[in-house]
Amino acid sequence: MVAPQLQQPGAGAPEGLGHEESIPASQCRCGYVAAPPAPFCPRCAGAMAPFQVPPFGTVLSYTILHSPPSGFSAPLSIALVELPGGVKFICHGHSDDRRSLRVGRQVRIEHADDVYYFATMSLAERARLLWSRRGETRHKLRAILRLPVRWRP
Amino acid sequence: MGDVYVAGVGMTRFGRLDAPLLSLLAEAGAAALRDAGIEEIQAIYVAAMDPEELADEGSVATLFAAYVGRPRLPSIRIETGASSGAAGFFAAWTAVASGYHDHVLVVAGEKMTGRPTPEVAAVLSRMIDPYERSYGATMPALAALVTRAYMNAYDLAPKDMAQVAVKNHANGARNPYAHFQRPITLDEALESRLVAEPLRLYDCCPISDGAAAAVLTRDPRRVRVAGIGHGADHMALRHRDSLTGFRATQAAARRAYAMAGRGPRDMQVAELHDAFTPFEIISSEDVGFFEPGQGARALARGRTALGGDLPINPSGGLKARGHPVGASGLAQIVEIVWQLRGEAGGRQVEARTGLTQSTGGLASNNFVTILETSQ
Repeated sequence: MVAPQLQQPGAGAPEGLGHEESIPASQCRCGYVAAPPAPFCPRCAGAMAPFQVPPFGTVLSYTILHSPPSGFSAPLSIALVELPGGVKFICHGHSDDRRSLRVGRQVRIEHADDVYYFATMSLAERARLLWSRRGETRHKLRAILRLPVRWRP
Repeated sequence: MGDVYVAGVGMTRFGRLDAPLLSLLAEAGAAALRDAGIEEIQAIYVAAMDPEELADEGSVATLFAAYVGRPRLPSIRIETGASSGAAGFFAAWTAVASGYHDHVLVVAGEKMTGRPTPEVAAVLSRMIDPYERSYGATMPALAALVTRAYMNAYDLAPKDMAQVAVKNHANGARNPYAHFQRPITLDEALESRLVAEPLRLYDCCPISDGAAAAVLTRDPRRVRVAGIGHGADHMALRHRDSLTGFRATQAAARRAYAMAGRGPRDMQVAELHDAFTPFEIISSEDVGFFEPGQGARALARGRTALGGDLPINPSGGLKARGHPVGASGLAQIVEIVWQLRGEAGGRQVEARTGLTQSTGGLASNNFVTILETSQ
C-alpha cells in the first residue's frame, strides 16, 4: 500500500469538492494507515503516530440494514469507503436514495459528533441518521441541533 | 506428530429444542462414546461460543465433566466464535497427535433459542470489530458488504445466492438431524424479506440449539484426520486486504492440504460454513475447489449438489441443518465421518476423502479439516 502523502486537508480533492475536515487516523513506520487511529499497527504490530486522511474517497461496498441492532432504527446504511492512499473507512451513507449509493461512486465524508457520513446527505437525512443511531436521546438531540452549523448548501 | 483417528461421532438433532445446554452436550457425547466403543477417555474438550450469556452457564468444561459423572477427568473450554466446534476438535487433535493423550472426547454445543432474537444478535455481534459495531454493523451487515463487493467484482446474482438455499434445504430434507427438513423453492427464497441488502432472510442461517461430539484416538480406526489447518485475519473488515475472499480460510486450507499431502482436486465431499448463502460460494473458492469468481457457475451446473462431482453441504449446511454457533464446526466433521463410513442415509454420497471449513467471526478465526478413510 502507498502511504498517503496528503498533509494538507483537501489537497488533491476531485474537482468541485470542497476542503473538508480531515479524518483522524494513525500511521505506522511501515506505511500502513488506520482510520480511526489504532493503538498498534494492524499490519505489523508497530507503534503508530497521529495522522490525517482527506475526507473523500470511493465507495467499495455498502448495505442497507432493514433489521438493525437494538438501539438503531431502520433503514440504516453502512458504507465501506476507500480514502486516499488505500485507507478503508466505515461510515454511513444514504438509506433512501439508491442512486447516491453505488460501488465506485466518489463521495465526500463529513461528521457530526464523530459520526461520519456522506457529505451529499441533506439536512433532513443527517438529522434522521443521527436520530436513528444508538445512544442517549439528549446526546442525539444535541448533535442534531448542531447540524445546521456544519451544513453548507 | 502421530496419526490421529476419529473413533466415534454423535450429535443431537438441531433446531428449537427444549433440552438445556448440558443435556444436549451429554446426549451428543454419549452417542460419540457409544459409537467409538471407548470408555477410557483421558480428557474432555468442551467447545461453546457464549454459554454464559446464551444459556446462563459458566465454567462449562468443569461443569460438563461433573454433569456426566466424570468429575476427575481434566476438561478444557475452547472458544473461537462460530468456529468453536472446529477449534475444539483442533485442540483435541493436538493433544492426541502430540502423544500426550491416547483417547479424548470433544463436545461442542450451543443453546440459543432460549433468548430473544435481539439478545442473540447482540451476543453474535461481539465477533465484530467494536468500531464497526458502533456504526450498527451486525454479522449480516458485514456479510452484506462482502457480498456486494463480490457481486461487483464477479458474476453473482441474487438467484445464485437463492440457489444455495434451495440446494441446502433440499439436502436438509434428507437429514433427520437438520433444523429445517422442508425443501424450499427459488421464489420463496427470492421473495423473502430483505435483512441487509442484498441479503434476504433465506440467505441467512437460522438460530438453533444443538450439540455434536467426537472421540479422537491414536488407535487406528476407519477415519483418519489427514490434515488440519487454522487461519486468521483482521477482525475489522476495513483492515482486510480482500473483500471478495477470506484470507483466514485460504491460510487454513493451505496448511491442511500441505499436511495431508493432498490438493483441492482430491476432495470428494465438503461441508462449508454457509452462515450466509454467498459464503458457501466464496468458501468453495477459498479452499481451492473453484477459481475466484467461478463458484456460482459450479453451483448452477449442479456440481455441488448431492448428485454432483463435488457435493457441498450434503447435511444441509448451516443454512438447513441449523447453526447452534459453537456446535457447527464439529457437526460438519460428524457429517463427513458419516459420509466416509457410508452411514449418511438418504443423503449419502460416494467419498473416501472429505473436507470441512468452519468460520469464526466474519472469517477472522477459521479452520479447515481433511478426513479420509484409512484403508
